[in-house]
Amino acid sequence: MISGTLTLFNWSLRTDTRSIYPHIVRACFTGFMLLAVLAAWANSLSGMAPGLQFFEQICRLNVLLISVSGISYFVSAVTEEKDSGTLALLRLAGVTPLAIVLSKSTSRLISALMLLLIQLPFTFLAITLGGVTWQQIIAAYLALAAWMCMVANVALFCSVRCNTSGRAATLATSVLLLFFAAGPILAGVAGLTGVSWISPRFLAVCENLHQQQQMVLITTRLNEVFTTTGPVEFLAVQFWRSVAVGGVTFLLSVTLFNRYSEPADDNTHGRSTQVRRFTVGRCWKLPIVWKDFLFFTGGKTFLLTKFFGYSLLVAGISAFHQLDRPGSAQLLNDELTFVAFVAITCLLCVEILLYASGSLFQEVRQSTIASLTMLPMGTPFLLLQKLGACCLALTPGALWLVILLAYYPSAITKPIPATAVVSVVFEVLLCAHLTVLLSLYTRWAALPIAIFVTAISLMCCPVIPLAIFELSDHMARLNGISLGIFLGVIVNFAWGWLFVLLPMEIEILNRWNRLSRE
Amino acid sequence: MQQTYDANTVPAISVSELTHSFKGHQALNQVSFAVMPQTLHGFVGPNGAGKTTTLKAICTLLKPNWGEIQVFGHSVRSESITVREKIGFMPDHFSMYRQMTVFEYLDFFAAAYGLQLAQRDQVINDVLTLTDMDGRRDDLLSGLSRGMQQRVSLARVLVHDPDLLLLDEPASGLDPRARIELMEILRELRRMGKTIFISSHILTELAELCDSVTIIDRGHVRFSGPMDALLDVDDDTPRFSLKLNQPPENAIELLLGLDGIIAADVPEYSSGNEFDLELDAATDSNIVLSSIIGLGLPIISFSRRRKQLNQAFMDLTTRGVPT
Repeated sequence: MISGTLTLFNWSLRTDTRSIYPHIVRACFTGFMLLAVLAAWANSLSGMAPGLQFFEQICRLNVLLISVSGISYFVSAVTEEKDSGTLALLRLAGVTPLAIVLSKSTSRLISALMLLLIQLPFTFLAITLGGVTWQQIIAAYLALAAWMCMVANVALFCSVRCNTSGRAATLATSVLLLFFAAGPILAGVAGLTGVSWISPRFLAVCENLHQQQQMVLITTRLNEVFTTTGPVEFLAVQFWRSVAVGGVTFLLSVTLFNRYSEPADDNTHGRSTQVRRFTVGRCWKLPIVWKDFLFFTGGKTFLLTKFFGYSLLVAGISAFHQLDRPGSAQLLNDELTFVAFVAITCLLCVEILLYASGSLFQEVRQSTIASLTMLPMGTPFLLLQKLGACCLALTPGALWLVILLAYYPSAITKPIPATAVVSVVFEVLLCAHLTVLLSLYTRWAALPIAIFVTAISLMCCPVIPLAIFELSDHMARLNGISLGIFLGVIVNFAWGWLFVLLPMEIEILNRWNRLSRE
Repeated sequence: MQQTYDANTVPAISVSELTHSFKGHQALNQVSFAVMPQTLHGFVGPNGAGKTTTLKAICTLLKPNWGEIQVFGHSVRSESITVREKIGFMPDHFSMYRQMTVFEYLDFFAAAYGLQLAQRDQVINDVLTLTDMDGRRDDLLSGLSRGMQQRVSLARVLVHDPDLLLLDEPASGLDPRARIELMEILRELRRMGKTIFISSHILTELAELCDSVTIIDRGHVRFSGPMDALLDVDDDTPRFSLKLNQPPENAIELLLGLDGIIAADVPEYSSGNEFDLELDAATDSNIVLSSIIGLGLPIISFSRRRKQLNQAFMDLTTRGVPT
């Protein structure tokens, strides 16, 4: 077994080393570290603790990087063998499940831990910049390593459990999102002490669960490390619990390996004849809109389901309002209208990103790009039709946003400044564009990478749109134009589209045409 | 079925000095050939010869570095939309929306080619009948066998009634029955007046099927013209095949005794009643046949031996994998 494990481990390590993407990630990370050092130096001029700020930025970026790599890099450890149909060959060669899991995951974990290790000397720069001790740095890196161990092994389990990399990435993303979302949700529920119809025992359970979750959460542990002024505990509860969760999921992966080691079953032809039980009607005049709307976004049935889902969400919030304030004449008060608006906006953003990741990728996966490109229509029109189908599928969420805006406009427009609206819309557009572009390059990691890049860009350059806002508003006021804020919106979108989104759109077009030739 | 064309006939495909390279590899080098309308043209070459690159250039997917391609007189480079309306391209891999039914798939492509609703029903029925898939119109594509999926692919390229069909390895991966049935459909399409440009490795079937052929190797055209011209390319000494009914034991001595016959031999595969004859180039084969009849030998057949397409292919192409 040792020989097989070592051979596979060696091969996996070589493959990962030869791949260009990990090197790109490392280069980007180095670039970000340089930026962080520059920012810390700039801050040092104003007399703040630049070392701590630099250290915090690096740690936050590491959390993001580890979380994203969990749903992109670690998650394909076993599924890449399933995707290419080579898992059965490994089994035939007598390689045991333990050897496969150990060698495939360890090589990636080592590669990722290397990234943490090599940045350690540079992070010690923070000590010279001031505001942080070497004990804090060691404690933070141990916490990050434990977090990586947990994420990598949870992703490994998803990789063992699922048949394809895409499904594994979806499962890992859901688990990770649930883990991060559990904290605020549990805290929110535990805080509902004033609501008479919720049992205090249930609230106590929620509170307890919240505390347990916080003990494993990396962000809580890092905040603890950042704010500690006295001696720092190197191996805190978060470390041991994360390593324990990692160990348990690793064991689960090995134990359940045989049960879930079936290869990807994309090729179903030759099965008994399948007939669909429902019809989808005749093709529309815009055929690609028809195709994508029905066969990619789920069609009318899913459109109605989504509309009812959103309605249920609003009805639930409204019911909460009625229970909280019995006899209220309003369906929703201003606070809950805002909550409903934000919740639907978030869901709509998720929908947009999911459609962005799959719309063109499904054509790549089904090898249908050449057939579509051969149609007597220009590629831009073809891609616009695909966009149209996605927009059609987004109507339930958009409709509910309009309804809420019409129902209580001031509840939504007051707490949200125009700059925030522009920032969010632009970030979503940027992320969606990036996702579409990356979906034409990678098999399944487009969405996590796009979120990662967008988050970094959000951290690095929010100052540009804000400055343009201020500038255009100031110029408008000087010239006696009262609607300067709208001028800012237009200018922001104009430069954002011209210099950021348009180049991406051109590259999407070029990449699509290149793929049609392959 | 050799057709004649006047000088004004516009070729279905005219490729002139097509040159293309990618990643430092010269895929096509001054490739030129023409395909006349309503013919079935075979496009043959070893792996990596440049067949698929040429096909993709013809069907507007690839912009070549140099050269001109015209489809029915329309430039592929400047009139790509017009060209796309005139051609139907079937790639070498299955590209299907597996969650659609056969009818939905064809309806989608018919609508994409701009056919009106009323027209679509008729066209889809016609192509399903032609490909013998009319009984499976409501089946999901994912449930069809490979041969049936290939038929649906062919039906798909026919929905907009293109004048030119470009088929890249249409028979690859099909079982013998599906392959024979596909060839029958192609013959039927040729009878309907379609021009068919078919890239294939299955030389025996191409020889039976094609009117003309282009052989390409390492980016160079080695031969392009009528199939007969390729197979009749001969050595200095014409070779004939003679088949006799219960030949006498001294048949070879008798044959060698005739004027004009240089060599006579029994081929390895024969059961003893077939003979390979090598004639003097100056001798009329009719006179030789008269002499054989004069010997009183019971003749079943006497025919000129043509080259097999396999042999022509091996003679024209280079051994080994291109680097």
